[in-house]
Amino acid sequence: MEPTATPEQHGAISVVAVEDLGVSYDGSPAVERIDLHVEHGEFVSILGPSGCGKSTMLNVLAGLLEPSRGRVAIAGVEVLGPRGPAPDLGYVFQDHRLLPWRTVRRNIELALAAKGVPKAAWRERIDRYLTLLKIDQFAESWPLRLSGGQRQRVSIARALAVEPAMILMDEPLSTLDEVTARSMRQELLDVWNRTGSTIVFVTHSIREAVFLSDRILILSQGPGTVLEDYQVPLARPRRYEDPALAQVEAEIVEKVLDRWGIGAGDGEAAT
Amino acid sequence: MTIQDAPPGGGTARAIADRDRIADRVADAGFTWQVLAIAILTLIWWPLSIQMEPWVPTPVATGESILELLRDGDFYHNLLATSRRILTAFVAAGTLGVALGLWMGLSRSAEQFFAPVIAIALAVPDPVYVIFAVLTFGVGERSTDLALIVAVTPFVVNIVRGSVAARDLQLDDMARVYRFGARRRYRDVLLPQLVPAFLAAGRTSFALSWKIVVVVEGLSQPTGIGAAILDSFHLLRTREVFAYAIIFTVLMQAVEHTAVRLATRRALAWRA
Repeated sequence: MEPTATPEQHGAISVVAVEDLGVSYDGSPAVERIDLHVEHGEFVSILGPSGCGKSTMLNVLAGLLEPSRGRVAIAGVEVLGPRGPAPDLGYVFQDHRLLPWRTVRRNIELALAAKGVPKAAWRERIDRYLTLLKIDQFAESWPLRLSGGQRQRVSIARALAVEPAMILMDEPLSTLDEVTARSMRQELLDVWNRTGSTIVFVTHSIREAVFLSDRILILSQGPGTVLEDYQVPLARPRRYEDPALAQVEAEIVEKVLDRWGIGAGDGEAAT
Repeated sequence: MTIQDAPPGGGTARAIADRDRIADRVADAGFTWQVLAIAILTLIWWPLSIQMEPWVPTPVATGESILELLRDGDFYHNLLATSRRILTAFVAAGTLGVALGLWMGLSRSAEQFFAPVIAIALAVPDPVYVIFAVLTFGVGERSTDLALIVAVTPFVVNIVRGSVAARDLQLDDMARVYRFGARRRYRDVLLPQLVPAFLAAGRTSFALSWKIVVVVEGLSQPTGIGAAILDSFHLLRTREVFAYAIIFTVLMQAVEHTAVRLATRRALAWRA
């Protein structure tokens, strides 16, 4: 199920290849056994209850954490943890992680410079992505002068601007109020459509995962294993309030209810 | 765009101007209290000076003494000598202290190695440094500078390493994910976080330098404000001791306030 994005995919090399991944902290496992393949241009969500090892897995993908077992590769390059080379990705964190003492433009420039993008291309590229995220008027602002939603837009623009093999998003909308989060979800899909990016999106909200994704990797309670690699059976464009979407959500809730244990999925069905 | 995303009112330039005006008003209010405190101190001083005549000079006698000193060429000679020593200690202890503090904050082994050294250095009474410096290098500028630097540096180290250790590790992660090199990690991620610590360290080292320099000069120098105070003490001219102390205090306060305020405003403009 290929979205509107550039179809220069070969199928042979997945953008993300995770095989038999295990991660332990001081002997106790945080992630037990995870396999995941993401193809070019896909939007894949990783869904799991709190403490299932979602963030751990993301840290491994980002090269911040060394896996204890298994193999992780991004764009065909093996990710070896902090000692290895940093993988080619953009990362949208739960909080914005902008440098508050650098302007919006400078924050993105730093990422471009580090990626080796020639200086002559910076201005046009930054303006293009800031415009895409509708925050071009804040290019010269200090991040702390922006609202939470605007900061997260900058963070997304930064991840896009380095034009990476893939973008990791770790519950990027969870700190925003519901109205802002809704419009951001919609815009995120628009941006994904227009740029053809490959996105791996971590969330604990079932409805958010259903609304956004081509596929959902449903994890068990920690230590995480894959419960199901779920193909979302909904055509795009989708509407957040669509009853069909609510039905898919209910179906997933049904699947995970006893697996996640009582309380773990509370409230998700209602959002 | 949602309502939440609407730009925060006004321009940034206006916001900065507003904030500076508020800061100035707070500073003005602070000034009133400072004047009041000084007035009360003088009110206590006055009866005390009459009671303890002639060992505590009256404010009037001290005032006359201040004017005399300000007309005296030797005073400026001493002031210059002392200022030079303070500046030397400030720059050297600042440079050394920041370097060592950064190293300790970033390296666990450096931290473990130097922590006890710093703890001891902080506990040693300042005159001990003076005595050992004089015993090693003899009486002279070199031992004065050395004693000052050794006495002040541990304070700077302490402030800087604490601040490095308390840095935002999440920004380190961000820098790693976006492949920032060493230079950008220092210049753009780490050092700006340390600016408040640098300002605090600067204030501390400046204040300490000028407190200790007087002791050092008293013990080991023929010139400088400290030596002059000791001379006046030997001749039992307490009004001169008071006069030196007051002139020096006012001068140092003026320097500190102006410098710190300028530096703070420049370095922390990004704060909302």
